[in-house]
Amino acid sequence: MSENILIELKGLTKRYGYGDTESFALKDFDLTIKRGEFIMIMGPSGCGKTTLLNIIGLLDRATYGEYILNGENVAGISARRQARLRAKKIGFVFQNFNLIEDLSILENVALPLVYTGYSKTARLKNASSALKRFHLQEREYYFPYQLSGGQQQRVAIARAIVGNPEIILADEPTGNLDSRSSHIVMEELKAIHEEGNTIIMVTHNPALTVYATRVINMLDGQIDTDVKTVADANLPQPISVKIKRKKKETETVEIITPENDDEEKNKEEKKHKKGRRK
Amino acid sequence: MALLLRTHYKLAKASIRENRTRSFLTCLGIAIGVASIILILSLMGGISNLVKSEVSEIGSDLIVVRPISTKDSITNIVEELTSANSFQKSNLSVADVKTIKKVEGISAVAPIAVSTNTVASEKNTFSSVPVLGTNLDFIKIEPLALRYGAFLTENNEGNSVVLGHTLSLALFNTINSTVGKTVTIMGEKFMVVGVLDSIDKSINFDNVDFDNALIMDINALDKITGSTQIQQINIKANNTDSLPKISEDIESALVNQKLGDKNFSVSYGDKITHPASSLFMIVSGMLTLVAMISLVVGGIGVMNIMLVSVSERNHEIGIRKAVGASSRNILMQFLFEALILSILGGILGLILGYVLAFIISTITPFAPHISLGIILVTFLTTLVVGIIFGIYPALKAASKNPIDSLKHYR
Repeated sequence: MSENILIELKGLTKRYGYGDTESFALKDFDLTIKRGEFIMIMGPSGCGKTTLLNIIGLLDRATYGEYILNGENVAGISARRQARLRAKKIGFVFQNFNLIEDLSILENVALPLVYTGYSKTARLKNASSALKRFHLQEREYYFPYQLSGGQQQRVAIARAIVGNPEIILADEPTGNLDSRSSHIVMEELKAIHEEGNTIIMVTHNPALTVYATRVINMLDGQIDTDVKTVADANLPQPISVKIKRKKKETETVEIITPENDDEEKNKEEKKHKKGRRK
Repeated sequence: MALLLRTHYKLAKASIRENRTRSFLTCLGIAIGVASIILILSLMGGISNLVKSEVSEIGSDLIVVRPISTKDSITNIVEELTSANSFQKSNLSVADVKTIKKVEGISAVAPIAVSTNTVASEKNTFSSVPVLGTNLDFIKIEPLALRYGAFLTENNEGNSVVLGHTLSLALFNTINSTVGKTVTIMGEKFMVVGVLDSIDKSINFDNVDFDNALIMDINALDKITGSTQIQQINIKANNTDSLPKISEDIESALVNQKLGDKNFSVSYGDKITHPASSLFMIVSGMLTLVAMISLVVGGIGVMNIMLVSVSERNHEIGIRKAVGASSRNILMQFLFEALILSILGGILGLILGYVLAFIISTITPFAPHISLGIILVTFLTTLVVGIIFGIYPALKAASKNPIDSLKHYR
């Protein structure tokens, strides 16, 4: 197995109802996703895009089929382990932002860290630096309703990346935004992608496909077209991911991934992130 | 794990603070239940403490013989509750007193027969005055002090009475010039030879309120009322160490006299309690039951508010699950909230209960009884109530499907 493969879906099927009312959101769905891909999934309503995203995000389970994440079949694991994987490896961005109204921006961003065992100070520190990245640090103590849609979505993205997940799942992140805010949000996602994160995004807007490295069109629970616009070799290198998984092996990781041009820059960032964790 | 528990605690605190009025009202429901339990338990404890301290004051050489109804206790109690006079069935007689007197190692034996009669002076007439029939030994056993005059003597026992402090005031509007005056009971005239000092102990092991009572010779009482019922025979032993043996002797002597019929009890030391103890226990048991019911109602209040909270925060639950909360995390979050609500209610109830008990104790002769045991039991009870009524809403929250919850947005 190539080590660059992040997600493998084999014969994934999601069925709703039985007998006469039986319908398939996904039917024998096969997909292989490499690290560093920015995938846009398009297609008409009801073709199974959101179901696919929910299954990849371990919020939903396929009726049958295999889902291999990092070489491990996670289709049948316990709900508790799914939750743990969700907390550590997956970040969600939703169309309606889904921020908790009663919590401040800072607390919202820190939310995923609650479930990965960080102390309160570490949580708020990490959340604060994630917000800084999106130029929202002066709004830390605002509440979601005090922000514009574009700002809320940037907060949501900050929340998605605060735990250094491998995969960012975005379900129409620009669906509720005007074009200007959409543009800002997409630029942010692009920046995250360039740092080596894998992004899977569902969208209805064909104009956004310029950001993607791969565009998948779905129809009736199956892949209609699958176009790669960037060669696999040119995908950004995933860095933070490997550091997170095995802290002691950071040195070897650097040797394995030498082809990256801005290695120096990445190293620095790595150190910065490591420092932040402590 | 400890970290997560602290987080749950903080979340619950924040949520409770968020809905202050609602949380307070919910706590109040629990608090009222807890307060009534505390009130009843502390007053009950106060009463039995009072009787205990009195027995120890009188001395450890006291033996008490009381009749036992042959009927089972519930019927007995119902009859006691429904009849006007609470001392009707007795199977102790004046002959029994004589029998006990013959037992070795005894220094004094005094029967206590109480009936309620109308007592009149030249000025006032009072009905329902407790008239206590006894003998000369009574004053040797009971540490009653006389304010004026003297207790009954052999010379005057047939036609004299001793008045309680309050009764004397009521009949003659005075206490110092009462001695020598006459009172009329059922047409018979008696001379007042003494007035008791105020003792302010309406609850005692004799079950007689001495401040309001009239004390006379048992034979004279028998003459005017026709029948006397002895509720209790007080016995003073010569020697504290031989109490078990003496009480055994008394028991066998009485059984002999009554031809094998054992319808009485002989008790000494700590076993001497309030005479209406079983009735008292049943009444306070009932009250405790009612208090428990109010605690359950409080618990239902907690459950209700938690269910509202769960459905209000459906969206939040979805978000939390999406960012990595497991079902257990959600369960703990809501369970903690219910627990904190009920424990806060418990603390509030504890304070409320004791404040009420102290207020009540200012108008009653006994002090409320505070024990660590009661506090501990209350704490555990509220904990259990919190878990029982918090687990269902918490389970409901935990079992929410995140996909559905995320769709529900305000």
